[in-house]
Amino acid sequence: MAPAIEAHALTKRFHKLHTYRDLALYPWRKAAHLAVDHVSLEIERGELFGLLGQNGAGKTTLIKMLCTALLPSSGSATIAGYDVIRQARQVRERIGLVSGEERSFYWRLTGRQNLEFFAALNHVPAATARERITTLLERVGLAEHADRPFRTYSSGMRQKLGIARGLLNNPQVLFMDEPTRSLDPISAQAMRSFVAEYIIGELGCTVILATHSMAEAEDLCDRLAFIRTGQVVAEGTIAQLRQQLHYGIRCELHLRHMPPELPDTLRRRAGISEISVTHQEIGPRLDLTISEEGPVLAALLRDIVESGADIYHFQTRQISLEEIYLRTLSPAARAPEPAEVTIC
Amino acid sequence: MLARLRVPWAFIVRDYRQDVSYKLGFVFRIFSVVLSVAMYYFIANVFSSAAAPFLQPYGGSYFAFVIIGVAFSEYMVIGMGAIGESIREGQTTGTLELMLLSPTRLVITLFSSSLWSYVFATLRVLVYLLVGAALGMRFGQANLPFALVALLISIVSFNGLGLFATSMIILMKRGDVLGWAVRVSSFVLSGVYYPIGVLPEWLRLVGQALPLTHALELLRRSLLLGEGLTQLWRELLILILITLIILPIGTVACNLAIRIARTDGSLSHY
Repeated sequence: MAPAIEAHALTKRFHKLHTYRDLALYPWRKAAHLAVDHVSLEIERGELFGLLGQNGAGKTTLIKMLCTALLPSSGSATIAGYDVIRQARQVRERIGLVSGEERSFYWRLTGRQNLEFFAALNHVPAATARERITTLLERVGLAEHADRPFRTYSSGMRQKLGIARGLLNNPQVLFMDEPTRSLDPISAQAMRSFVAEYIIGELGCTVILATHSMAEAEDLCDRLAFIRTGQVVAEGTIAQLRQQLHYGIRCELHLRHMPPELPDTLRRRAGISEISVTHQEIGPRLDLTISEEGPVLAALLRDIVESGADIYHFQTRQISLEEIYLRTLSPAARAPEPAEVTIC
Repeated sequence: MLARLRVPWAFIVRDYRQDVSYKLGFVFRIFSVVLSVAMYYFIANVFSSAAAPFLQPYGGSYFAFVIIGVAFSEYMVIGMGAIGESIREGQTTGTLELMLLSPTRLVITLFSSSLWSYVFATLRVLVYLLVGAALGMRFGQANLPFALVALLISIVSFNGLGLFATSMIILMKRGDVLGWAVRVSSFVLSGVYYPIGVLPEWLRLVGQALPLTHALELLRRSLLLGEGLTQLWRELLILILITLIILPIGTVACNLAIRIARTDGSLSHY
């Protein structure tokens, strides 16, 4: 069976608009912006795959190419075995899109009327559509408001209706572009449960989730890809990312009688990095990262004890997804910009 | 068959619901027809005898002439603008991309998006004709089946031109120069308000290239004089030829524009 999504060297290059001055002075010059740069992915059926990256990193462009809204400049991709360029209609029959865009409804129609229209457009038979719309409205918590005009909905309700619309054609693959952008924390948590329990658990959809919420990604995603300037810079489960990126293990120690030279001693030790000391009422707190448990941890504890410091509290924790994100994608970690290309 | 009609029907229902939600606007658009007809009635009274020689081929009544011209030119305005307007509305509301991401064929989506405008225009045309009849227009000898065939071919032809205009909107977002030029030249050269006999010879020739010229000729003569295929076959043939040229080119232009917009990512921009 073909994977739910397969992309090979998918690339999107946008031609930049000329200014009138450039058009007059250099009419032959074509400037381009590389939005997605040779992205290759393989996502299995039933998987929830997260796309993480800064604004403008290329997540939405990648989603638009995969759901046939945008033609790739080069490369190829298939959804459920169908080519996104040559078999766009078959792809569209099998996908749903939940965009964070709230305005993409008819504001003077009710929520139910909006769903009826999009169900017809997606060739859902009338009887099935009626039943499915009722079920979906109940599942997203809009049953009571279904017959109110869309313009009276709150941001959260609009977002929920967007999710219901994405599921109208019972898609095999659901693309979700920042689905909880306008939701308060409680609604966002409810939505995460809805995605995990209903969309993945009951419907068995494959979900591609572009998000800026680390909690959402950590809670939901089986695998993740970090995207920077159109390129996938890291990909895998959170555990794999920790391992691949060698970001180590965070240690927190509360000490008494810490000699001032201890941090420098530790800095010279291989496998120990990012040492910071904060002075608290109960004594100094030492935060640091070790490359691995075992010999490095043993050496760390030995150095501290031998320095004469007393360890009152000690704990290790895995590096969080947010820390992985910041370290991987922050400007300090940024490679030279490949996004601007000029073709003359 | 019924399943195939579901998408066009969904568009009609959507647009009807939206239109009637603006209650005052909906009623006013119907009522404005009554006012227009009354206005043309009084204008016709002013110079009916002076214009008589030019109006003889249409039965001699300026009132009947202008009502048919104004009423049926609505179909041209819709054909030229409805698809483009729907695309533009979809761009500004953000619904266009979602519509085009559905498995419904592009051509069905585009034509369906203009259907309600035609239904509403038909309602307005009926009001034009009913109020006109109440004020003295006579349709006693009208060849209704022929007029309907002529109207259908005219609508297809107008839509062909409309697809051109749509492709401009998709690419340029604003500044539908082509649509504007066709609309204005049709009103000037196709005999909406006056018989084309009053135009200089060379302008009359230019007007022959416009589908509205032939559409109005066919509709006036079939509705007012009861003429049919025997008398009007030449006009009908010209209209069919124009349609056969315009429609495929318009469809190709629109497909091309959408492909360009899908390539440069501007489909939902406005």
